[in-house]
Amino acid sequence: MSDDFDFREYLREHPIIPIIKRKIPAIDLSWLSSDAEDRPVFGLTREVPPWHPTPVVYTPPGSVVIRSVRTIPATYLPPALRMQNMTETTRKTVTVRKVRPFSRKSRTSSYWEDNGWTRSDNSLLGYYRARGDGYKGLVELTDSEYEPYEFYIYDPPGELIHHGRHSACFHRRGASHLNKYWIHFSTRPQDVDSGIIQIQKDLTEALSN
Amino acid sequence: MNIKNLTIVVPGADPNAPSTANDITIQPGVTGRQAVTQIGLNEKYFLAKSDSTPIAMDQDLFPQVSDHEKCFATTEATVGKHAQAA
Repeated sequence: MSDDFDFREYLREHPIIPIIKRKIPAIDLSWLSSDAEDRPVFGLTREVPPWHPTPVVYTPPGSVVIRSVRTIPATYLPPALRMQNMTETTRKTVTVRKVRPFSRKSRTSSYWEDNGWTRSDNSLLGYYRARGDGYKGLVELTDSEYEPYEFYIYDPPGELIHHGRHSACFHRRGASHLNKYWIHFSTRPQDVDSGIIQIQKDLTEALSN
Repeated sequence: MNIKNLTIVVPGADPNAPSTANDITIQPGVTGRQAVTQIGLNEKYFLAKSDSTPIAMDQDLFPQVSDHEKCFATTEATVGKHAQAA
């Protein structure tokens, strides 16, 4: 197994915290509390045996870890976490990298690409951005020459759909729990970028009022 | 030197079509309208910055952009029935 082993991905499949809690109940962790460098970040949980030479940080699935390198002696790992090439006397260094939002920028990339929208078959998924917030959006590509794009927004802010000057132009579509709204354009955008930028302008305007 | 280099990206007609990047150099006094005309676009196009902030097309473009900034040419689009007011 390479040193690029993805610890976060592994944790998603093997949530180890319950396993450790069962094996080592009621551990006094007060001796770790003075070590500021190893304080939990974003709610990390530490469960280590008191004889452990160095603190180990385990993260719940979905957390962001900013530690660069962790050394985990195989001796203290639960069986589920022991890897094929590890023995009780070997050590395995696991590198956990900070996860950054994906963004592909190049000189010719379009607005939707620069802002993290992703293409999936005949649709684009991403977030409309306004005043520091993101609102999940969907752009469907249709075969219609008259209306080649259909724009949707999920969970729009109340300022936009109830009080904004364009409030009548947002129509709920699909299952109610999705809170998905189709956006009507009186002047249809000729490209995806124009539609996204216009919706963001309207969002910003509604949130500013 | 009192010039700024600007890249104006014109999106393709659909997501499959590649965007086109146009590099221009501007001096103080050039408006956004003149800039888009310079790269062969008509008056229906507007400029927006990377954070979707619109650029005032009839005002001096120079103070509105940074050197080597990437801007996007967009066409007019209006949500709802307010085309006249927009």
